Amino acid sequence: MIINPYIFDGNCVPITGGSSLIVNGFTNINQYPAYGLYDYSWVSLIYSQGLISVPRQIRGIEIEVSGYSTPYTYLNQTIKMAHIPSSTNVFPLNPQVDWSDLNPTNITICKVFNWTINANGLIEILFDQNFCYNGVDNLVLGWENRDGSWAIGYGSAESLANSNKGAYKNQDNSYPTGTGFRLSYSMKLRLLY
Amino acid sequence: MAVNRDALVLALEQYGIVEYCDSHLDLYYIVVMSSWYEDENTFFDIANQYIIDDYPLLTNFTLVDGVLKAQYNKGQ
Repeated sequence: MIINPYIFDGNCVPITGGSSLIVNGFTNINQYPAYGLYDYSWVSLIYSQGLISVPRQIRGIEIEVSGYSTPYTYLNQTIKMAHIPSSTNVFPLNPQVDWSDLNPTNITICKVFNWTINANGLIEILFDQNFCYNGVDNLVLGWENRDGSWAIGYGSAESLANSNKGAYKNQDNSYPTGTGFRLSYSMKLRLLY
Repeated sequence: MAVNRDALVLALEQYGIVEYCDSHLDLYYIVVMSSWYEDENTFFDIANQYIIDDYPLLTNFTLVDGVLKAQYNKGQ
């Protein structure tokens, strides 16, 4: 009998201490993961099941930033993850900021934090709440920037051209709601598990 | 040839308050205006004259309630 370790006893697979670079890229996208030109920004990214393949207890991520005047601080950042159906590979034309068009499950607020970038390059972010990836569905990553003010000196995240795998919305004065815009880039991402 | 910032600011000031107008690490050029009372084409005419020779890619533009934000990049 084959036992899916993800659903066995309802627990995650164990943390292994490993990591996988699931998307590499060298294009600088200012919108990712937060856009310092605006008071608030919303970004979501779809990573297909085939990039991860197996169940993982995701304990953090690593991204790569450039062009920041350091130190640069974003207040009130939230990283979320969820499963979405494997049939949902791209964002719809007018993606919903609240993910209501993605049929997400297991929405997990992985980290709420003030993010200070002290140096450009690879940045590891460890979660306060791990995400139990099931190895079957696609993964959606959300990054909510609720800093509340904009500041010059912001940079970008290294990314890879990838049709409609990203979505964003930027706004001053209040956190965006409603629909955003698609962006055909995937943010470079290493999963820590 | 670098952006003539002084001339650009003078041109922009005719249509609103210049909150920020400068480059960042020679990667991109940012213009932030408040109380902008003209349409976006007026801004683009100015930007085409002063910015795009050095920063040809318009990567972001919004004009909401008189607040104009534009970013021009050298390249991706």
